[in-house]
Amino acid sequence: MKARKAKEYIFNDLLSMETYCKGHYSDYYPKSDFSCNVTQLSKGELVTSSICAPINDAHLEIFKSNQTILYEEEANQNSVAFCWISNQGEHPQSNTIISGHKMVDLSIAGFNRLNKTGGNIWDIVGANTMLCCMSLKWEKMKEKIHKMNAYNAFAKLEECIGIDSNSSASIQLKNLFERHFTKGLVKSDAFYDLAIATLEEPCDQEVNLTERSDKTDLIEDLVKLLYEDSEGMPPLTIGEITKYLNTEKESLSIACRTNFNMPILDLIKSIRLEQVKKSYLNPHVPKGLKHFTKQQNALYYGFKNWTKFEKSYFATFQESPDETIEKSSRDSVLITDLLRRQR
Amino acid sequence: MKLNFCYSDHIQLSESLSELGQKTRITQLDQGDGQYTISFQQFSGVALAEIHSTKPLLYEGWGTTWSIDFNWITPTHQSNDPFGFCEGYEMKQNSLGGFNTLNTSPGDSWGKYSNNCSSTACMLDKQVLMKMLKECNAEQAINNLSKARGLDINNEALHQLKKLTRKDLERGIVNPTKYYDLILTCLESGDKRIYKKGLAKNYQLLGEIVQLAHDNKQMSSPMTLLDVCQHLDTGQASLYRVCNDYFGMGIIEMMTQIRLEEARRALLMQKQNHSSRKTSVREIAIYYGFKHQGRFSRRYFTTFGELPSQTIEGIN
Repeated sequence: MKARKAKEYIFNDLLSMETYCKGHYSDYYPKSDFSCNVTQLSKGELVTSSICAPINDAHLEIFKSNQTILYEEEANQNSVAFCWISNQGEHPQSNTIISGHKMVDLSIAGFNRLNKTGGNIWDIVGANTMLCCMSLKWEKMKEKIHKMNAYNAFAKLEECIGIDSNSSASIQLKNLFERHFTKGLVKSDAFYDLAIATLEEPCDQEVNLTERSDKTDLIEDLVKLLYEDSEGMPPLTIGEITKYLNTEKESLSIACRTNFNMPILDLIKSIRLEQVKKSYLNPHVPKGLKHFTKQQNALYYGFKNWTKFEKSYFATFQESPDETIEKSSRDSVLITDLLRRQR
Repeated sequence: MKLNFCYSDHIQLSESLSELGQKTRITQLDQGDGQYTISFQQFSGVALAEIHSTKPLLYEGWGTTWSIDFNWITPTHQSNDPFGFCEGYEMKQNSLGGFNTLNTSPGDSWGKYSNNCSSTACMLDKQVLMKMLKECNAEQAINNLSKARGLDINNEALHQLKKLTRKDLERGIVNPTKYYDLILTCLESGDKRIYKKGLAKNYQLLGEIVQLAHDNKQMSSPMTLLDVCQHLDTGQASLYRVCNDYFGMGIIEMMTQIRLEEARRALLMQKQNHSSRKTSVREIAIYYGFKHQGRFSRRYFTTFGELPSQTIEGIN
């Protein structure tokens, strides 16, 4: 599956992916202040691929990873996301959730990316799941909604996160997307029209729909909170999290298990391990300094016992902290290296 | 009394308007900082207020016990979008609105004005005006005033009214009876707009939307779209069409914006709260339906450009 102008990007670490996403998004939506956080939730070596085939006013992307990934970004006022999975049949166990909407073959979700008063979105992309993402410009979409008098679509965008739809419009939309990646389309209007038609379809009781609610807000806030890096602040305790989120320990625990399939402490640990890894991958810090401060970095993210940390790190990424640091500096040749070779 | 103020916070407009007995709550329907100016005058049964804002504003709770509040706009920029709505009546350059303040209870009126015009209110004593209309046998004027929401005035009377108001806002009201005379002429000679089908229903729905969105009792547990549709007995598509046409946004976004404004007003009220028991940001957030303080703070920051704690600190 590859459009004429499609480009494929492969990442073996999530810092590169975040940097790429940031650059890519600001190219597409100038003046945007985009940032995202990505964390590997399953254990093993990582290979992530993103095939992008943008056209005027529509950004189209197919994302796949061999590991389960947690993705978080700020909601914005510029774009609406429509995401679906295309190979669920091959991986029936793959657990993909878009901001609380559990994804099945019929699902289309990610509408909460558009949020005019703050908020954020989070996705869990199951290992080996092919996630199709379509990002449409809100101004253009709004204009079309008015012209088409499609106010049910407007309501659904404002109230919903995702829907399960077997309407002919949603099937056509997915087919059009696939055709774009094989043949390469030039105009984006059909994507807009079909997206609006999909949303405009009335939802009967059989159709599964995830509305924005306190429950979905709670998880959005939890994910946001866990990524926050407050200077000098020790890792959050569960008591602090429940206080910040104004919730009970039990409901938080249930929400975490339901959405992430793990206890909250494991989720915190995964995020913090990833944050340490990203600090080791930071291209702006010299290799020697990284080795010198590697334990301090782990401590900063709450890992007090270095030996235990090393074990967890290796179990998650299949490499040691030293190997990550070495890998991150592999491309740079130092003058001392040259002298060593001459000798 | 003559006052002329320039503010950087639209909430201060409410305070100035309360001097004229208008207990209105103002919501900015666009993000970011703006500039707001108000000029007002009051003398012997006439009160005038002219407001200009660089952001679109929604006024709720307009109307006093003593006055009928006539209203018009003066374009400051050219625009294809409507300049404003006075209780749903689209305000054009030649429109006179606000007639509904004759029939409604004080504080039941609303208006929304864009940043492309200034809006002017001319408040005349209800009893004096009605007595005068009856004495003059101005049946057409009485009929228009009691049955229409507004009129389009295609003669010199509105032009003269605007000119006089502008002059009096500068120098003070010299001859209050002139306002009564000019309004009488406008009411007698104005043209009723040909109604589009369903417009009267829209007027009612719009009033209900504004009222519901400002209902303090509903703010702690914000309504879902389904709740709103059931409460207003309307379909979601009609609700979104009307909301978008008149307020430029969806109903849920609008209701959230109003709750944020109310929360901000409550934070600012801390200044006047001299008791030792201060309400915390968290309590205010929860009261206005924002259960998670972090989310509330983010939304607040996105809308007002400062954190809730900074609003309180700013006061202190």
